[in-house]
Amino acid sequence: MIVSINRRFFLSGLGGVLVGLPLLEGLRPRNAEAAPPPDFRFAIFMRQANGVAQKQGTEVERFWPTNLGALTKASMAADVGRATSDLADYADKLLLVRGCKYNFSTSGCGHADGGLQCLTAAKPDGPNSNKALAMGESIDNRIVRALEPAGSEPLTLYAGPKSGYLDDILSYRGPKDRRTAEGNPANAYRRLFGVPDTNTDAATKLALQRKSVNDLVRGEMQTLMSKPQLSSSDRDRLNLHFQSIRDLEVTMQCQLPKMRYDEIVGVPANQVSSGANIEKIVAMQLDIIALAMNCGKSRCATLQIGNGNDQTQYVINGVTQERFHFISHRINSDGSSGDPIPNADMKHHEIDRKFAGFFKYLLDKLTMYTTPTGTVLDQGVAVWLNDLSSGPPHGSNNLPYVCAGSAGGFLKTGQYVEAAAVASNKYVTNNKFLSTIGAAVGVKNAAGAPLDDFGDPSLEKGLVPQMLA
Amino acid sequence: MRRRVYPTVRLDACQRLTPPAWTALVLVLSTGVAACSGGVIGDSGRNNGSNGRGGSTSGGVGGSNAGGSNAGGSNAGGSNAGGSNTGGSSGVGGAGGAGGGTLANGVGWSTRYPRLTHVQWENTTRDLLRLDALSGLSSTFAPDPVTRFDTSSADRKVSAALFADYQEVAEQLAATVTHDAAKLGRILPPGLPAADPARAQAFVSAFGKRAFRRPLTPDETTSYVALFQQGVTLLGGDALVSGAEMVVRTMLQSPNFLYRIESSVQPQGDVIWLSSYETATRLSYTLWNTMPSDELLAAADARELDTPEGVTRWAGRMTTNPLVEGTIRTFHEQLLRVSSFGSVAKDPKRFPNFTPALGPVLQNEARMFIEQLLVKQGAGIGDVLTSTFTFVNDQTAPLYGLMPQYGTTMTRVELNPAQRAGILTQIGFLSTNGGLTQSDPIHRGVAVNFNLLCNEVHPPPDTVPPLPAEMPGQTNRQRIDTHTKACGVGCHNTIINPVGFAFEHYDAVGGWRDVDNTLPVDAKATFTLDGNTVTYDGAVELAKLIAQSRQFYNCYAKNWLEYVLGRTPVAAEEASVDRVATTSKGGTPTRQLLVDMTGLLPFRARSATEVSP
Repeated sequence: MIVSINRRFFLSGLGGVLVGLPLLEGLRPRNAEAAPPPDFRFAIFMRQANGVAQKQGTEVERFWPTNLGALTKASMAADVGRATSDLADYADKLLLVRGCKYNFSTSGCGHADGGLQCLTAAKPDGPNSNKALAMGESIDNRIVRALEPAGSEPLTLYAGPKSGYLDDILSYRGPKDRRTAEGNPANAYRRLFGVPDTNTDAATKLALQRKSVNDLVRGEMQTLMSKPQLSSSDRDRLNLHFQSIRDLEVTMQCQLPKMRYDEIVGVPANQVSSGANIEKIVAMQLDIIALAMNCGKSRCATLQIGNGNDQTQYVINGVTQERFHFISHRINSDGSSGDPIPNADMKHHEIDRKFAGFFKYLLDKLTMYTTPTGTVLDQGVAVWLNDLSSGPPHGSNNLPYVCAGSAGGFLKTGQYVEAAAVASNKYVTNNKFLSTIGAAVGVKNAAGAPLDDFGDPSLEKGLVPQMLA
Repeated sequence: MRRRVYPTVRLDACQRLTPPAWTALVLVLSTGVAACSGGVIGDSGRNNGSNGRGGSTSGGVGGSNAGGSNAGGSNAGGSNAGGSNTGGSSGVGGAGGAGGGTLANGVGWSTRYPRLTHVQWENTTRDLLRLDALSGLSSTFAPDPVTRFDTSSADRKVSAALFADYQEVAEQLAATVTHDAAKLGRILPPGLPAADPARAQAFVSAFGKRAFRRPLTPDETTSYVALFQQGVTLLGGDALVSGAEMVVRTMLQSPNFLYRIESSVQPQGDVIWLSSYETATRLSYTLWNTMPSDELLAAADARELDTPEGVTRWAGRMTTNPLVEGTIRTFHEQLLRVSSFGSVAKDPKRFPNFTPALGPVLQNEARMFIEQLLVKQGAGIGDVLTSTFTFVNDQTAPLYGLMPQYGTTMTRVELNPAQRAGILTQIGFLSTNGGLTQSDPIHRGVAVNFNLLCNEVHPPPDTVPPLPAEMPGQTNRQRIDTHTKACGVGCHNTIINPVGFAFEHYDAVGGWRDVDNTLPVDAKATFTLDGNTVTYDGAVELAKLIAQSRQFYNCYAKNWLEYVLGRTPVAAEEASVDRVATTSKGGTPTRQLLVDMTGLLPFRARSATEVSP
């Protein structure tokens, strides 16, 4: 028999100050001591599935702005019917990049191919469809590996149901070593920021207790890691564990408003992954990501929205739509034949606009936090990207990249640029885009120059110069 | 409304995009899928002797001697002469004996640090702390990746997020247990001295042995006794309570608790025999999915688990405990993907009663069916494919064509034996492997090939054309047949379609039909089993043929070993696969099958070559 016990209830039922100690995490509002350094650079990747409603076959353009070049609030607002126009308020912070593609098509499934290369620019490990894994680390991992203490991990979050189909697809520690995303904002928040409390005396006591525990456990870990007979994978496994203990000890003190915190922890665990709650969960995860960047908790975060072929039934104008994946096929099917969905391309566009709204929400949060020289958004770069380029073909040419923030002036902003001549069917591989993002936040190549060789070694190296300020 | 087909080459490759995960391995349109009959493991590699399918386990199996069934094995009555029983890597007992014989080969690599699954963590904390029920505290643990079997050890790691979870719940559980005198009393050893440091030493030794599933080393004991004595300073209050709380809190975060560590390192030939404690731990987590009982640890103390006879003797005793029923249920549910039953949406116009609410009912039907056969009746896996009863309620009875006199309670019924035989003809399997509006021979064929026959099926190349729309005067079989005709002998025509077409009497939700699109259903097909050509008419006949085939039991054995070992068996372990296949094909009850598996070399030993895969 399982007696489900809410953690807070489990503890509060015991009573007594000592019993309450595990809850106390001593959080204070952000102060000067907690602020990240001025040169703190970060990257955020918000991932959409199933492509966007861009020009394809007989379908008209509903995503990109009309003209390349400078973006202004007025020019974007005038692009009625384009999903990106919903970001007009941030025109001077945006960098839209067209002309990139994925290079590999080997897994047997476009969703797998795209999802696996989205942040890795690496080959899938074979024609395994749903079981395919990426053969390289992802850029979030590379950023954190390069810029944070050894063993640190990127913030890997998720929103929506998981179905066993390409659930965790973005983040890889290395070849075939995927990282599981956290879908429950309450768990993510607690790990990053603890639980709000002002009892600093109790927090101090708890810190001492945990130090005693961690000192002993750390010693045990070192004993295990010193064994000469360890295989490389077991050594990696223990090293990850060891670093995890250290990570936990490095806490900074930040928090969301109490009301928002209560909302986050108030979502019943069994409803967190409900498709009906996906928009609410997305917002909570974005709140957490923005706060994490504000507090210097991580150099990189990812938010995967929906599984490999996002089956969420989004609500548009109060009406629950068909599954997004069906809409992206334009038919009522996961396959290639089925009853047509009327106005499916418009519905896809409306879902794109919903994601534009998610991204705008993130930008709102990042600009809400200020620094001595501007806003947190100016310190880093946020990217809205996709596993695929478009709906029905599920192709990977002309991937929709929407960036915001200059990463401290490294990236161009207020521009819609072209990485290659799309009209001539020219594209650059997405490793260059990812290298550019990595370089923007401070990652170097082996020679000490800005990162320019991320992704599969067979790919041509380089940056996307059109993105550089 | 006219059906539309998009001229895309990438949609079909993953068209079943809802669970279960394996259904994405669809549509073999490539050539070279030759490993479909036999060939579960392939070359026996370094394994000594001839381990041909159906043969004996002579040479290198490692000898399960339970019931004297290790025909030809050279390990009968083997002694522990070769065992390294003095010292061990951590000073807590050495490795078990080799059991004699030529056992140099036959063990694949696996991690020495398999982390407890979240379910195992729940069960273990319940038993370690002697709680009355599961705490449920693991429900918010950072999730592990979804794998075919939840016992898969490769993907289970301790991230910073998970360690934070472990820390928090360790603090909560330690407080819960130690602040309640009655609860604390359950974990104190009998005859606890009244004063420290003897009291601390006794508690640390007794509780630590159960937490780490082996005696503590002297250094460990010293460290934990010191921590116990810091309890008053760190927590305040009573010395025993605070000391015990600090020890419990810390041990629950210790790698020695969180991992099922296998420290034995002294090779004997190509293998490293597990210590008695390590064997006890494997036994307990394999059969009970929780920590060893006090009795099993006492058996390890007494070195009763150093021989194959000792292991299987204890395994036999353990399989009389109801805890083993959970293992039997869980393995088969994961093998047959029961948790996905009912998850594939149907056209609400065609099947208005097939709603998401049916999912739990269909899953419950399969679970009751499996439990009835494999747990209550002691039947073998073959019966799961051939038995004609099932359990229905008022929602599912109409889908079987039964009169709607049933209530909400699941009721056992006998089905028409001409139409139904076993799990493959139940609504859960058929609907999950059915289309939106039509039967789905491809997914049904892939599911059977992949899960039950271990035929590798690869996704199609990018050039596969889309499935055409249904045409008037054409059955679904004809549509699929025409579409996949060019595939050749390596894929649809010989592997997927012959199996999938056998299910053509069942519509998208698994209901029986004799007519498809106004034409008579054709469910006849020819397939290759055990290297022989077999012909059948319908899924009932096919299920019976599969249940008699060696290939099915080889596949079943391979899956069992994957579940038990937490990794895929390797070529060198083919003899072990063969042995389990032979036993299961003979109709051996699952409990006994588990006992036999604990005597196999891969269960009792590690590879001496610590090379990561």
